[in-house]
Amino acid sequence: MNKFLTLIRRDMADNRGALVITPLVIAAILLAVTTFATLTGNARFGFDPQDFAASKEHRGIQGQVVLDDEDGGATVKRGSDGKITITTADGQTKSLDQSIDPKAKAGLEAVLPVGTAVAAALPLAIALISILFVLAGALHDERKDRTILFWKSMPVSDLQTTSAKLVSIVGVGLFFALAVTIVLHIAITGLAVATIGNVGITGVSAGAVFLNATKLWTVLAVGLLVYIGWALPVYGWVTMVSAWAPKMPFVAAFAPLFVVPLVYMAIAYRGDDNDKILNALWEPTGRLIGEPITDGMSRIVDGSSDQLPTIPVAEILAHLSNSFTQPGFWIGLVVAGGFIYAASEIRRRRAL
Amino acid sequence: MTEVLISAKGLAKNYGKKQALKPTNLEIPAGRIVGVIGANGAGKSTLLNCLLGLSDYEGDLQVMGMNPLMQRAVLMEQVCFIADVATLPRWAKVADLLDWVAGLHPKFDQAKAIARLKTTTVQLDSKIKALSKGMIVQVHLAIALAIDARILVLDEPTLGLDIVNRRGFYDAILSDFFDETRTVIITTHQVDEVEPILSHAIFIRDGAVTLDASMDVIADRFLAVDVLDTQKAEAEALRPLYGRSLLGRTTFVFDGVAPDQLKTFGEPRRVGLADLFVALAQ
Repeated sequence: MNKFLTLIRRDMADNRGALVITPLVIAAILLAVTTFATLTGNARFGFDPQDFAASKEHRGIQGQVVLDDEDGGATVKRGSDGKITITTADGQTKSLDQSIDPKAKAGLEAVLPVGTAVAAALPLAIALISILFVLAGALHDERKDRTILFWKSMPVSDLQTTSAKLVSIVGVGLFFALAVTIVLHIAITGLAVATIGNVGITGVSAGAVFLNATKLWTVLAVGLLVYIGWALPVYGWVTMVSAWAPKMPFVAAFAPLFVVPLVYMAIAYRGDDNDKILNALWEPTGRLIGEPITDGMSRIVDGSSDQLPTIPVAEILAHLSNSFTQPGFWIGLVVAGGFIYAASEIRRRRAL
Repeated sequence: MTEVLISAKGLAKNYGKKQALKPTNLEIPAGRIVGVIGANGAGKSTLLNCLLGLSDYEGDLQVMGMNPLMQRAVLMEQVCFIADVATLPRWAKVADLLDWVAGLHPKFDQAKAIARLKTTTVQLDSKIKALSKGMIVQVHLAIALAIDARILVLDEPTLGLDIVNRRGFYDAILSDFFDETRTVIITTHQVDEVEPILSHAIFIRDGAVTLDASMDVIADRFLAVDVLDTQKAEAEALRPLYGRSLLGRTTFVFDGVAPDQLKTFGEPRRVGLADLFVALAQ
């Protein structure tokens, strides 16, 4: 176990740029941009009156926006204290807070962390792509720079080495990116909550917002785990190609996943969406883009659209756990195991 | 009886139709320093790769009683090798590298490696890529010598080093590693530099072992003598392996001719390994 942990530490150091630095830099840039936008006022007001007027063909007059609608329109104005007021055509002026009913505020507690999570998920989204490049080079680059000769002088099996690379790049790499995403989510959500207070909306509980955020993190963590399970055959395939490819391992790994189905479509596809051969050829790509997880997910979210917005954690987790009952999931894991073993055997039988 | 550390019977390796190593029989006991000598592409590295479990092979091969290809991970607890100066990961820091080796190798003495490096100009917080070739060899040597192995395999370990570093390298192997329970196997092009420390030599030519003998046997069996042109025909009658004419004299190398017979031409002397390799290549 100590050897395995050492291998993971080594691989994390080897790929520090892609697995550690990149998510941190992306998060830092996102946070800086969000903070800047919040402090400079556009976000504080909610929108820029001038931009709003220009894009929507409404009139923007000295920090206020006049909305034209069937009821005669309204004027939205930001006061010197930053609070927003809305004056309707009949001359009634209400604060923004008064204009939002309590039900909508409760809904905001659920919707707000979802919105900020979408923004904060960028480090994780980038990591999902970058690990494919890292993985493609994992067993190729050590041959290219000849360091394989040093690592093979250590009493470590090729299966241990190969497995450790997969665990460090896919497992540790992605979950580190998730951790960065969560920290960024906390920060952006905090900024959003502060902004809501600044524009005068009261009654939105920061505690409730962050409680919903934690539910999202649970969903994200479990979802990521299940996603990795579905995508593992593709990761295993890439690892095997990395061990074998004389050069350009990324192209060698991914060209077949896209070229073969496209060639089939060009030659034999007759427009049948239920073409079993074509579906089978696209399946690896589908697993990689998370198709098995997202299938049916929209039904869960849409199903509660007429209710007060909530995060249906239990339903989503139940949906995710359905993966464990699907033969395709387990068959994929067996196939992944085969690819990983093949990668280790290829590495075992060659010096360079 | 001396323990046999390496035993090969019919060891061979093919790359497609090319036979990189022809069927070879070897037995290397403990307490030897063996030089594997051959031209580029002769099969030296192929032989070492087979011994280290770095490539598959045909025939029977036992290293420390193990099959190197199937049991490399366990075997590497007993075997240490330095391939060449460019195999350490350039992106790593020296201190991190020592930490990882400590985590991976149960017979690695990290304190010993650090103590050795402190006698050099290598800084522990330096990255490998920031070190000179000589310093990188110092790091690799510190790691190798801090591993309590029975067999040390060196494949062109001093390639690209200056003479001071080359000599220091071999001195360290002799003083800090070698004893009668261990064996060192070296391939190098700088034959003259390793010759004084070798106890045995193996010549490889076109994938075949052409000589496998101790330095004592080589000294007894192969003799060189400078012959005047007037005695050349007489000397050639003794069927020398090789002759090289220079400045009115011809140097002949003989295999298995008694020194007394050669003394009629001049004073017989030992043949250097480089000269012997050339002689056997004729």
